[in-house]
Amino acid sequence: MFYGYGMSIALRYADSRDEGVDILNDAFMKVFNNIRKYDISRPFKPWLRRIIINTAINHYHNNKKHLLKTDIAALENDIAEDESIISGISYREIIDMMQELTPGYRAVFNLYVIEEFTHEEIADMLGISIGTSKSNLAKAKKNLRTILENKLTRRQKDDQR
Amino acid sequence: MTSDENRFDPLDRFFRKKSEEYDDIAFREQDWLKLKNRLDVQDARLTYRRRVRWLVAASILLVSLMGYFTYENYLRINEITRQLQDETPTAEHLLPDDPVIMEETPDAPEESSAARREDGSLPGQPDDDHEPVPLDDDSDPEPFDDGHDPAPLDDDTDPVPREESSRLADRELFRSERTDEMDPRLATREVLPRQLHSDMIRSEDIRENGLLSHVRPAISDSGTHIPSETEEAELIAGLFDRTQSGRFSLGFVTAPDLSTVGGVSNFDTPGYKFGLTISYNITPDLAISTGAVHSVVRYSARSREYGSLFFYDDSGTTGDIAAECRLVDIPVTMTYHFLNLDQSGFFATAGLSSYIMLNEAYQFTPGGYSPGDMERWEKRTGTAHWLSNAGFSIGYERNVHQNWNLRIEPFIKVPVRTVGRADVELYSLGSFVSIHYRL
Repeated sequence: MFYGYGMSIALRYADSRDEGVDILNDAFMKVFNNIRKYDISRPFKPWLRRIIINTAINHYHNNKKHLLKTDIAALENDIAEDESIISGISYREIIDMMQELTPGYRAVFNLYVIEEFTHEEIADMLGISIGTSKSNLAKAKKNLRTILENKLTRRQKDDQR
Repeated sequence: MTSDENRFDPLDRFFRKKSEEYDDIAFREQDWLKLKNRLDVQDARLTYRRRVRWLVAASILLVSLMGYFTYENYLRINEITRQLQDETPTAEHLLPDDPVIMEETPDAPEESSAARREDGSLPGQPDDDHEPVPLDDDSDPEPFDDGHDPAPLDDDTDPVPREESSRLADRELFRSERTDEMDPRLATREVLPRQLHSDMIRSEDIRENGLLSHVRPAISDSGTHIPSETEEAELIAGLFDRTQSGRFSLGFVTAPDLSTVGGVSNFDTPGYKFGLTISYNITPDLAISTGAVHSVVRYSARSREYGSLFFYDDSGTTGDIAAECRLVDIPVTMTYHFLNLDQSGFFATAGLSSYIMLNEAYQFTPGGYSPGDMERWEKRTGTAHWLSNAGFSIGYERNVHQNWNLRIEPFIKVPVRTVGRADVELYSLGSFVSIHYRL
């Protein structure tokens, strides 16, 4: 019942499906070991969500990869303004795009954009400065735009054939 | 871009919206099997650890009991041995109605010398050829004869006159052999600690033994004293009772409490402690104690300093907490008096505490976009956290009356494991002020 929900969160932080499974399994182990602390009068999904996010951050700390991927050249077209074009992109493709980011950029992007934490909280959780958090976010967005534009360009070329 | 503009960034909206469309994530059986194996391994590990803990606890208890009884026996044997070695009775120290003594009055030396038998033995000395001297009681005395002749009378190394030496040796032998058939007073004197022996009690001996320090001196300070029969019995009974009852003491303790989590800094509003303790003196300098101390603990913690997954808002965001917890602290402490002065002294303690949570109240400040929102959670949890904190202190005590003493004792408690609903590592500082009564 919660496999899909949990996996959808774990995959956004993971480099691959297997790593996402590891994060999800670790999270569920914590759920089983701490189930006595769960207040049944409150909704379960936020509690599970919090556990999975914490577990993903722990994985990030344990497997920090400081190697930067090659900067992706940005295209000039601002495709983000035209949502009708990108609406056809599936969730799986979104995950693939996010997994192309470096772990640091990916973590900051997920925590800020999807989970809606502040930069102060992100800096606290990841052990970085607020400035680094903001910088990583900007770079993540820039890279994602580039990846998205590349994907749309390839799709357009495929459609034209 | 400002933070508000980020929120309305089309890219952000796109990813936020797409992240919720996860319907095409297919379930894989192998993912579940991985989790199942981990759960099975964890169960086996927990069972094994539980068994080991029980075994270790049982072993420690057994070794402690054996050690305690062995040590008690060792002390008792030492006391008796010392008493036997130091006991050197002379004529003036013997009881007036001792049947052997009656024969050895100051006027008697020539008579006893004249009464010496042909073989050199004394009339009171049993041997194969003579009847033993009748005693006050009617019971037949156990013969001493073990087949050996009495000690030769011409031993030049004996500093005591020959006749006196023989009499003393005889009396010594007589006393050591006759216990249950002797006068009960003499039988009692055989097994009492050295300090209780009537002809050896001196004020110095009483002071030496801390357990008897509160006894009213029944003798003069000038030296030994020969009590009457009634006086001696009362003295022995009284001393014996006090010796046994002086090992326990009751205490009432109170202290302010400064608590924090994650380290010894950033204290919140002080709390307080008060409670009762009971201690047992294993030796005059070493004691073990326990008790129940009601504590009010106040602390605040940032989201990274508490481990609980309970404090979150509906979006899963956590924040800071301010806590006030009421608990019962059950300490088990060893106390060692390392410096004893005339009416005071210094001591050090170390021990482990168990916390029984009575009531926990938390004020929760979420970290989301509503910084003004406060949430409060309070419950009588009743959870027990056994041996969760280690306590250390150094203190000063002063006797204020015969059985009363005051103590002041700065302490620190450090966490061994997390406690409470918030799963925090709780540090506490304070200073006990306590009054104790020796039972």
